[in-house]
Amino acid sequence: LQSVEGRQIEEVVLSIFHTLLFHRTTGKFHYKREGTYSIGTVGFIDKDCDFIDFTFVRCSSNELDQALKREISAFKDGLRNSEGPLTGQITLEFYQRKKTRWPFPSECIPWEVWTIKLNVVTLTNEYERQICREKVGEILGEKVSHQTSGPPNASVAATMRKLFKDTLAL
Amino acid sequence: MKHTFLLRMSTETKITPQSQQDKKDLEKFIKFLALKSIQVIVQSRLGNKTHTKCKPQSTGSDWFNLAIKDNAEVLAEAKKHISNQLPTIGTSMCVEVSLRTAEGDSMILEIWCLGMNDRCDTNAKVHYAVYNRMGLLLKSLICMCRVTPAYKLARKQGSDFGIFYRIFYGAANLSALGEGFESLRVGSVATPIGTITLTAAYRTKLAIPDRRASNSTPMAVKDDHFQTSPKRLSARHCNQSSSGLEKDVFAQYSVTQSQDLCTSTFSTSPPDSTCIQAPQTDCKPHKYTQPINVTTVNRTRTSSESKPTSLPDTPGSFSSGQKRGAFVTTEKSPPDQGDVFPVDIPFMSLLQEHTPCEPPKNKSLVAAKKASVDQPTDQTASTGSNKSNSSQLSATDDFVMVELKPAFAKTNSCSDLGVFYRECQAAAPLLTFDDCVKTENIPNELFQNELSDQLHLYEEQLFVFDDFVKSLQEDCSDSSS
Repeated sequence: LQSVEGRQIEEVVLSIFHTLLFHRTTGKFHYKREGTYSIGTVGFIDKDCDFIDFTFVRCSSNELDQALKREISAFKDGLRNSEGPLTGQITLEFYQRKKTRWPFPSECIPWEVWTIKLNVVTLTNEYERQICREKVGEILGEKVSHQTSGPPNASVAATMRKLFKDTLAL
Repeated sequence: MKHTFLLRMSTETKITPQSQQDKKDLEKFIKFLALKSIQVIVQSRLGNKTHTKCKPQSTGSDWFNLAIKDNAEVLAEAKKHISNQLPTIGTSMCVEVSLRTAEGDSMILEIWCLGMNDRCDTNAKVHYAVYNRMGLLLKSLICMCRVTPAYKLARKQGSDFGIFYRIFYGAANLSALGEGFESLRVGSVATPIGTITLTAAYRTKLAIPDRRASNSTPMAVKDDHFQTSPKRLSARHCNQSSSGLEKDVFAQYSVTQSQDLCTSTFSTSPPDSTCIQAPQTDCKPHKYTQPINVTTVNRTRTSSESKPTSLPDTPGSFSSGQKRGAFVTTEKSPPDQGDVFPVDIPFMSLLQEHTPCEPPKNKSLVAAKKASVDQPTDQTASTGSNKSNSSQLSATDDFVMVELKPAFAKTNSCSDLGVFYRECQAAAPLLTFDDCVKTENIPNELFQNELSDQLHLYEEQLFVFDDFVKSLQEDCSDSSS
């Protein structure tokens, strides 16, 4: 649960989700003939945050950026308009869609679920804002390095075991 | 080139798995991983923002399906090192990123190492599995390069300081990163000949001791930071040429002076390899305003604890540099005393022009200002002391504290900042402890008893928990097998 200012909500979520999406985005696949294919190239953009001392990397896809911003903006509005303690969470889920037999709808199997919990605070002066700006930047840096340097080459079995334990909060 | 290769791959691997071809390809992959890693690291330290486009069809230069543009200068330098040698077990390829101020101070900011250990994964398929994981590793690197403190410094570089890099093979000297450096594990890729690892270590104390403290008041030090480049360039140039084991391409701070500054010698780095400045793609005046540049320099000079990494930082070297400056360049201003300690009038005008619009930068800036205020006049004392020297405050306060201080800092006391800082840092006490304090001893004992009872209870039930975990692990292994 991270305390952020109202105006930082969007950038906090964007920077984490965009980093994840960049890391998990592959180039476009082109199947040529049986057994052969080529993969396109992923471009990237450095994005500076306005309200946090932080720069993150995102795929150079405006469509992706807009889609993400649309969702996050709704989340931000919901958070800011709610009554009482301003706490909320937003989740990015990577899932596999699996076709099932008629008449059942296709099954969605989550592969990764990333949840950001935010607590919105109101700061009264510029000094506090500056501290918050730096601190949130630092925390985002930690999150990004945690995300990107996860266990390498984890086998499916190990991943499942981890998922199982995580689910049971062990 | 790579495109056609991609098309070939799937059929080839079926015919000759683990063949000689695979080995050759793996070497090629490692070579390009190293080349692209260098590009990613150095380009992120140029001070520019990267923007590359996605391409539905890869071309020959799009290794690892990532659009990493090759900077020609960096590529040429990287190839010099990669052509003879690749990272192997026990021999890492390192990229050292360092900062040099206009005054000639320098320090190593971070070291990125591409190495290999002996954990072989003979099942790892060179084609695609290893190749794709290398791409992932590069993506991690791209993200991580924006996280370390050097990134922010690089974005702020300008006439006051520049960022340099150096490529070398061998063990990284992490002690050069000062006390409290931190390590990062970017990631690793298992291959049939060993696991490729990419790690980084970076400095956390970004400070250069002030070597001119003996000659000047803090006011004069500040003053110098505000100066525009021509005057200082001669001094820096002299410092460069005064020592010289090594060739160095220095920053081009302005178009007019670049010819004079292309090469000069330095003694700052080990003589075994060339140190090249991250090329500046634009020679225009820096986009940041001067106060921000001053801020960053102040910050780098904050603590006097860390050592300069290499330059002989004696007052003597500076003065000898001055003399040489007169011979080396044809600067408009002679390197006289005013060069180093300019008169008050230009300084005042700069101050009036810039400082009122600058908001209080941040906590560390305040600390930086305080440190520069506190610099003792004695050179030797300045290396270790952070104690305040109130006799110097009146002059510097006008300049530093009044214009830039946060609203609640007081005007004349050195301790206020410390107190305020501690107040901000100290966590609020827990309510339970609050109660304990209020009601003094007896409830405190009660509380402790209760706590120890609880702990005892949990310890007794430890085996239940152990069993539970064991059963789950059995479940796990069952389900996975």
